Amino acid sequence: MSEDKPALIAEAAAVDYEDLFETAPCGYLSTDGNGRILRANRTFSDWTGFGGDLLAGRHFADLLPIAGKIFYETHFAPMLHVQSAFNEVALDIVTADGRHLPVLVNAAVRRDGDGSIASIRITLFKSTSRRAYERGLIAQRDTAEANILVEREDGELREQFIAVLGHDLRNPLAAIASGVRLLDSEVLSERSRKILTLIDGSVVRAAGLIDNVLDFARGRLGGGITLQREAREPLEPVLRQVVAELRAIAPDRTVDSIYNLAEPIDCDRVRIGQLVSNLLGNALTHGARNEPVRLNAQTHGCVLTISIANGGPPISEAARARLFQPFYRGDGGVREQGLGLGLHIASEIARAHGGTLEVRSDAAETVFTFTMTLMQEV
Amino acid sequence: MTGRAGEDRGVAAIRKITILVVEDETLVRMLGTDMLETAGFIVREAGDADEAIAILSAEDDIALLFSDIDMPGSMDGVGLAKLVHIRWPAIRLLLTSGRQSLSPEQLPEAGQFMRKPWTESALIGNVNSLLAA
Amino acid sequence: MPATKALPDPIVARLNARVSGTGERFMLFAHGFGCDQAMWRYVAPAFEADFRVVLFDYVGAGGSDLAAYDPQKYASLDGYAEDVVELSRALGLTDAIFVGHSVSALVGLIAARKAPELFSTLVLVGPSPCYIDDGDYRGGFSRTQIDELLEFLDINHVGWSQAMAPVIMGNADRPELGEELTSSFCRTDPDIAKRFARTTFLSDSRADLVPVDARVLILQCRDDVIAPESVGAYVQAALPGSELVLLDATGHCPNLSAPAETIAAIKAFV
Repeated sequence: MSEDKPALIAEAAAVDYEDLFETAPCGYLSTDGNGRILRANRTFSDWTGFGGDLLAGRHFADLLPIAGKIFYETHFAPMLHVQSAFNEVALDIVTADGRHLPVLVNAAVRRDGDGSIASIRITLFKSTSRRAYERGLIAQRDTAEANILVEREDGELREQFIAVLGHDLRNPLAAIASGVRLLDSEVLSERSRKILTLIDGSVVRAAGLIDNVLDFARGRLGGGITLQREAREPLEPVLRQVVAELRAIAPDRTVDSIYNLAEPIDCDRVRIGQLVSNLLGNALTHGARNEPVRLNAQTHGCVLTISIANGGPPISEAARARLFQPFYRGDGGVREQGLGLGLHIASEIARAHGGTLEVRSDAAETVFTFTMTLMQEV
Repeated sequence: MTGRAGEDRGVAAIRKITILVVEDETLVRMLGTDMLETAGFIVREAGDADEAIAILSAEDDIALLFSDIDMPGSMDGVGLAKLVHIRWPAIRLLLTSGRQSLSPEQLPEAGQFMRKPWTESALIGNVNSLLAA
Repeated sequence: MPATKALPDPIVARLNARVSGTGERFMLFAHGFGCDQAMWRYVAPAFEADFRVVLFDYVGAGGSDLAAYDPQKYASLDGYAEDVVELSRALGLTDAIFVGHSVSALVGLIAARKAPELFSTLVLVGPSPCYIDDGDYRGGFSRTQIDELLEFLDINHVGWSQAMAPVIMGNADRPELGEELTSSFCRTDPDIAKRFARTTFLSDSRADLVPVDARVLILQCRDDVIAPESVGAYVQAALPGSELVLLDATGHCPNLSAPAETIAAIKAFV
């Protein structure tokens, strides 16, 4: 190796530094401590259309557009005074024919013995495409930020709309439901009573639909299912009410219910009611018509379990995987009723309670089970 | 106080307590009125806060205000309850709504909130416990 | 810089203020657009023997509390002047000297008007009350050019970011500066820098050029494209009794490029 050394040194000496400087693939400038150009290489002259003689003595900042001049005075020069180097600066050089040449600049300072700046070395690289790319990035970022603002506003509007819609839809329904209850205490013919029962059934279905749709819409906005936990009111009456409503909708079907609930149960009982209502409705729609639907609600230690079972053909493995997705409406074939939201909402309610909703399905029965750990009050 | 509405009717009939029901949805108001009358109370009805205030100003034996929250007119149920509490502090306050609950600032002192839809027993139970206090 | 004292008042931390030196009177140095208190590093130490020297960073610059940046407050120079008054009062300044560079010069004038008891002497280095030409008034720039500047700042901050770790720059050439230098100098939050640029270059503070009780010294450089000599003359004319000194220096930052001249001119006045 050491034999090569003299040869390498000789080779180094043979390098034409003058040529290296003049024809470098970048622009070279040197200025004095005040920024006046001492020397410029040929590459820079070629790029800018200024001969070396035209450049000598001119201030570097003269080659910059106004914005660049300001930047030079407020950032570039101070940085060089304090730090002795300033790298990766994006500048525009104004060429002899008045065009702007985008460049990327590194600058370094040589100092005197007393610390003042003796000269400044500046290298410049063309960066036309890089500048265009960066401008594109900025434009994209600005657009994205503007879009976010619009989205947020839209989201707020939609939230308000949902709230008003919910209220406006539920009001007339509440009125109908009240009317049904009022008529219920009157003396009615058998036919009238039957009609009343059917109206009641429709009200229940409509209310369930509204609840599910609004929950879904709200959930899609990122709000999710919010709970109002209330341990003071018992859960059982709510479940009994739900069962009663669904029996009213399907008077020719059998719904068996068993309750073994140790109250108080800390949950959002309205939501649990909605969960049970959705599951029962699902069981009635898809279960075998000649077999009962069975509800079993119990607490065991600190676990609440509510299961709803129905007979009929089992749910396929493929279907079971997609069951709790929104809009899933079954394997097709028979024209499916409903929006396909009930199970999705039920699973979201389960999740919001920190619980689970699972399905088991075979030839004997299909069972949906909601399990939730109860908060223990010490 | 639990039990069927019939038992409550007996108690209320002795005292003849008047309740003001405020609700803009007619059928819903009728249902509330029906439940309370079945339990033996005398009921006055108003469709909004302004009507309610007119009735309260004209009559002086109303014991309890049972009001919906979301109503058209100059103020909602919460505003009405606050005003009633200031002008007629003896009147008990029961507010109701399809909403799930009220924030503490919205609920008047010693007032109660009941979520819709009501069961008859829940309504009568709340009314009686407020009157007993 | 000599050791600084930690002071408990929140405004002190918010503005990264440091007090050094000894003396009866305080001397407050306020940096201009584009940098932070480090730009006084060649000038401020010369006064530590005779004055209590206060250096600080405006909110949004240097080591100030960036979280305290309120776009509404700092949309006008008034907000910055409020901070100067608050800091000065917290430190107990009276009959003090305010040295303000560039846009800070105007901030000082506004602060002096708000609280005349604070400063008895104002040194304005390269002041300009309005950068945009307006009729007969020649600020030096057109609105279009200022817009170009704002866009330019955007481009240059694409490369820089707050996430860049500061690098300790050893100074082989200037060992006396030691290793405290970091590349955080002149690095600021890009959004805040852009807003400060807007506030600085779009403000028209000619109305704030009203006579003040304090003695006023204006330091003017040659070939200062940002605060040209005509603007310096305009400021002097608007402040009766003020003195203008033409420094043997070029460019906009004589405190960095010609510190000896700057020190001499200030010392002759205070």
